[in-house]
Amino acid sequence: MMKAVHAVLGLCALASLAVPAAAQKQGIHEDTKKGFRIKVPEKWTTIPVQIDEKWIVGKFLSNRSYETKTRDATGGGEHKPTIYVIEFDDEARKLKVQEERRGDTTYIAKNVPYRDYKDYLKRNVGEGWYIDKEEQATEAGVPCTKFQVRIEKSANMKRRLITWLFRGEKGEMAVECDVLEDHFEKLEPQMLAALKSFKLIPRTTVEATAAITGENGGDTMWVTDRSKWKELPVEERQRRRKKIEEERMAKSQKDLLPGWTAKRTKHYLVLSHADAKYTKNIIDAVEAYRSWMEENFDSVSDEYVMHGIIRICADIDEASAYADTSANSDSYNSDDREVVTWQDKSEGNAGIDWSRLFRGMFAQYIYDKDALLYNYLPTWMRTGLLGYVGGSRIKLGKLVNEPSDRENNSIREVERAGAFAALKELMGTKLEGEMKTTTDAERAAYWQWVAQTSRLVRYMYGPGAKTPQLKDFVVKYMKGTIALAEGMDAERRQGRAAATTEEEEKANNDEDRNYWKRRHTEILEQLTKDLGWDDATWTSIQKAFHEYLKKA
Amino acid sequence: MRPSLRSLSLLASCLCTPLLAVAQDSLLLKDTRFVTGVKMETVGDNIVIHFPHGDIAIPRSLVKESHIKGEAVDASLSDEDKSKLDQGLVKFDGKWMQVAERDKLLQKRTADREARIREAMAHRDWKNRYTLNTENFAFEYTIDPEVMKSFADQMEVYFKTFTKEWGIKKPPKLGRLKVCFYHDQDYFQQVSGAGQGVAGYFRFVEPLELNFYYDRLDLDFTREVMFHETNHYLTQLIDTKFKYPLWVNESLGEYYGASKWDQKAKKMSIGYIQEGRLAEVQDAIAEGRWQGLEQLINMTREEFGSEQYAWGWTLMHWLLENPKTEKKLKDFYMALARDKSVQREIDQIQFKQVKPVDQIELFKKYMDFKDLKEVEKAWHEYVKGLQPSSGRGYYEAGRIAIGSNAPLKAQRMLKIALEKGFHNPQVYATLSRAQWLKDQNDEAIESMKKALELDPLNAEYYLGLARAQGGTGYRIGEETSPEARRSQWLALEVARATNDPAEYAILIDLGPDFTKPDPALPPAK
Repeated sequence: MMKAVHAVLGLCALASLAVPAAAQKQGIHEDTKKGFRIKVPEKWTTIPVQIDEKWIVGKFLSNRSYETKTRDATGGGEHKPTIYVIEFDDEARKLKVQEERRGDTTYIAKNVPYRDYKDYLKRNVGEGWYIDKEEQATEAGVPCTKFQVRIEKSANMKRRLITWLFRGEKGEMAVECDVLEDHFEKLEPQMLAALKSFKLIPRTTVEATAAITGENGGDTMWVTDRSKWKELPVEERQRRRKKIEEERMAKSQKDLLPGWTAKRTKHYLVLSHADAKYTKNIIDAVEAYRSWMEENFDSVSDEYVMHGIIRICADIDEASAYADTSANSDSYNSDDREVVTWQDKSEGNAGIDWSRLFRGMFAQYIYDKDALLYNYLPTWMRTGLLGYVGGSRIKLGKLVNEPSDRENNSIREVERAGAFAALKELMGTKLEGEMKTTTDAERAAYWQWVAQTSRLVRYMYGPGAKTPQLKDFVVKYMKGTIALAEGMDAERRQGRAAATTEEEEKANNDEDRNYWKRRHTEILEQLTKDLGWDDATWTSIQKAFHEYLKKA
Repeated sequence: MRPSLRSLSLLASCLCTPLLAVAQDSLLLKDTRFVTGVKMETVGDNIVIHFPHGDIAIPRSLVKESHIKGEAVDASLSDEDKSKLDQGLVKFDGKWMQVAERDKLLQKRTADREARIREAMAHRDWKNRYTLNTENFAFEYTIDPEVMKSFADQMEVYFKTFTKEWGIKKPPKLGRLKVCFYHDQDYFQQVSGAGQGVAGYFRFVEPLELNFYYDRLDLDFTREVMFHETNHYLTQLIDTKFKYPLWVNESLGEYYGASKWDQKAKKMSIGYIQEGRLAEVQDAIAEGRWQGLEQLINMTREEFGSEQYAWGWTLMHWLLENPKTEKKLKDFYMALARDKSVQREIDQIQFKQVKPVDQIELFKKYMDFKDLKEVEKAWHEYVKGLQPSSGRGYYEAGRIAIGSNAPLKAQRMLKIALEKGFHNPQVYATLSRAQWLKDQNDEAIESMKKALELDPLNAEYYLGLARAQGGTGYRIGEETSPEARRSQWLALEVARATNDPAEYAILIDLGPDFTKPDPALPPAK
C-alpha cells in the first residue's frame, strides 16, 4: 500500500512541477509567479514575454485588426488591440548604485526604474498623450486607480488606453488596454470586462533558477575588459559563455505557453508557435546555415560562438507584439542571442523571410567571434556581407545563395549607365558618409553602390575564390580589421588629457565628431596597403569582376 | 511713543487672530509656477519658505498670489490711531473696523485666493485646459490666462501686420488656427509628442495646428518661437497645398522670429538681429565655414541644421532690410507658389513643390541676378558687416558651446554676455556648469549663487550648486561636505514644492540615500 501511495505522490509531484507558472484555461490566464489572473477576450493570443523584460509581465493580442476611419499619407492604418499587464514591483523600483573597478577606473551604474505608471507612460508612449480620466476606486475590495489616456498629437493613429492600476502586497500592477480611438466605444465593453476579471492571487510559484549571468548578472568581460578576457585560456572563455547560453536557454523554455514547442538542435533552441512542417523547415535551415558560417568564419578568432534561440512566431503581428518591450534599459541584455521570425501563411514556404533569419544569425555569430567587428569593420565590407548573407535561402532542401531582385535590378541599372565602380573605389571610403540618401536619385545611386559591394562579396565566394589574391579574403580582412581595431579601441578607452585652451577643445571635438569616419578610413588605408596589390593586380581583378557583373 | 500694554495686546490680536481652518500654504509665482506643501511666512518684503534643509526668501516682486495660513494680509497700525485701538477697532486695508468684520473679510479673501490658485492648478492638466477664441486663432492652453492674453494679442497683431504687408488673404473656409500653448517644455513634449530639441512646431497638414511652450526663464525665447512658427502658418496661407523649400521657409521664420513686441502700444516691429543665430554665424566664420548659397538651396531636411537656420536668417535679413531687394524677395517668395510658369511636382502627401534647380532659376529671375555666385559674394559681404551680438547673442553662443562640449569657449561667451548686461539667471547657471566641467569649483559656486539670487526656487540650480560644492558622487571617494549635502536636499525639496517635472531625474542623480528621510534632521513634531 505504502509503495502505491508513494508512487501516486511521486506522480503528483511530477505533475505539479510540470504545471507552468502561467496557465491558461478557457481564456483565463493565470500567473502564479506574479500573482494575477485575467480573462482575456475570446480568441485573443497570449504573447510570450522576453526573458530580460523587467516590467511587462503579461501581453495579450487581439485576433482582429481594426482600421482607422480615415487613412492617407499623413496617418491612419490598422491596429490590433492589446492588453498588457505591467508590474511596478516595490523592490524593482528602488534606486540602486553599483560601482565596479576596472583597472584604475571606477565605473558607476545607476538604475533608472519606473517610478509608477505615469512615469512608464512618459517613457513609453512615443506620441503626444495626456490623462483624460483618473479616479480612485475599489474593485473586488482592492484599491484601484482607473485611468483613461488619450494618445492624439503627433500620433499616426489616435488611440485610447484604459488602465486599471491595482495595489498588491509587493507593489502595483497596471492592466493596460490599448485600442484605436475610432473604435473605442465599440471595444470599451470588452476591455472593461477583461479589466473587471483581473484578480490578484497568491504567488505560489517561486523563481527556481538563479539569476542569469551576463550583462544584468555579471559576466561581460569580453566587452568591458578585453585584454583581461583575452588572457583567459580559451577553455575558460568557452566555459563562461556556455554558462550564459545554458541559463538563457533554460529560462526561455520555462513556462512555455500553450501552442509553443521547444526543440534543442545542435546549435540552437528553436521555440515555435508555427505549424510542425514550417518549424522543421526552419530547424533544418538554421543548422545548415550555422554549418556554413562555421566553415567560412570559424577561423576569424578562437572565440566560442554562443548557441542562440530561434523564435518562430505564428504571424507578423505576434512577432511585433513579442518584440515590444518596456523602454527601460534594465530590460535590455547584450547577451540576447535570439532571432525572431514568423510564419507567413499567405506566402507558404515561398514567403519565408530567409534574409531576416540568416542576417540575424550572421550578425550574432560575427559579434561573438569578435565584438570589435561590429563597429570597426569598414562599411563596404559590412554592407557587402549583409547583402550577400541576405541572399541565402533554402531551395529544395539545400542552402543556396542567390542575389535578390533588387540587387539584380540595381546591377542592371549600373550596367546600362556604363558606370561600374572602380574596384579600388568600391573597396574604399565611399560608404563612410560620402553618399547622401535624401533624394530619389541619391537613394538610387546608394543602392546601386551597395548592390555592387554585395556582388563583390558574392564574387569572392564564387568564381573569384580561384583568384589567388581573393582566397579567404573576407576572413583575412576581418582579422586585419581586428588587429588594427584593438589598438584604436584601447586608445579610445584610455581617454585623453582635458583641454586647457579653446584650440585644444576644438581639436578634441573635431576629432570626436569624425571618430568613426576617421577610424574606418585609417583601417581601410592600412588594409588596402597590406593587400600589397600593384596597379596591374587591381586592374586584372577589376576586369574579371566587371565581367562577372555583366553576367547578372 | 511706547505703545501701552493694552494697545500691544490689541496689536497682537490684529496680527495673530486665528482664521478659520484653511488648506496648506501656497504661492502662485509670476513665472506661473505654483509652490505648495511647505510652510511659509511673510518677512518684510519677502515670503520666506521654510524647507526642512533651509529657508529660501522669495521677493514679493516674484509673487503673484499667496495664501499663507494664519497670516493677516495687511495690518498696519499708526500711533496716531491709538484711540481707535482703545475702542477695540482694528485697521485693515486702510480702514478701521471691528475685529469680526476684519476676520470675515480675511476669510473671504483667503478662500478666494485659495480657490484661484486651486483653479489655476487644475487647468494645468490638458483635460482641463483653458480655451480662448480670437478672430483668427483658437487657443487651447494650460498657462496663466493673463500670459495667454498677451500672446493672443501678439499673434492677432502679427496676423494682421504680416498679411497686410505681404498682400495675403486667408482662404475663407480655413477658420481659426488651433494654437496649443503649454506651461512648460516637459508638458509640451508630453502632450504634443514633440521630440527633444524641438521648441515648437506648426502642423501644415489638416488639421492645421501650432504647438509651443512657455519658457518661464526666457520670455523672449518663447516669443521668438511663437513668431517663427506662426510665420509658417502665415506663409502657408499663400497656398495651403504648397510646400515651401526649407531655405526660404525656415529663414523667413527666423527673420520674423527676431521681431519685438511693444506691450503698451500693442505693436510689433521687425528686422532685428537674431542674436543667437548671429553668434552662431560669427562662430562658423571664425572657423572658416562659409555657407554656400547653392548648397543651402539644395539641402534636405536632414542636412538643414542649426547652422543653416543661422545662415538662412542672415540671407533674409540682407534681402529684406535692403529697400532695393525687399520687394523682389517678397515677389520671389509669392512666385514660388503662384507663378504659373513654374513647374511644380506633387509629393507623397499631395503637396506641390519646386525642384531646387527651378528655385534657383526663379530666384535669379526675380532678384535680377545672372549668377548665383554673384549673389553669394554680396551676401557674404553683408554678413561680414553685421555688428557683433548683444549680450543675449553671446549667451546663446555660450549655450551652444556648452552643448557642443566646449566649456572653455562657453565660459568666454557667457562672460561677455554678462559684461554686455545680459543678467538672466540662465547665464550664471550655464557659466557655473561650464566652470564646474573644468574643475573650477569655487567660481562655479559663485556663479550658481548669483543664478539663485535671480531665481531662488530653481531645483536644478541647487543640484548644480551641490555638484560644485562636491556632492552627488561625481567625485569618487570624496566625502560630501555638509553644505553640498544641504544643497542636494534643497534641490529635491524645491523640486517637490514647485512640482518640477525634473524632480525624479534629480532624485536619480542624487541616489538611493535621498529616498529616505535625512537622518541628520530632527524628527518631525
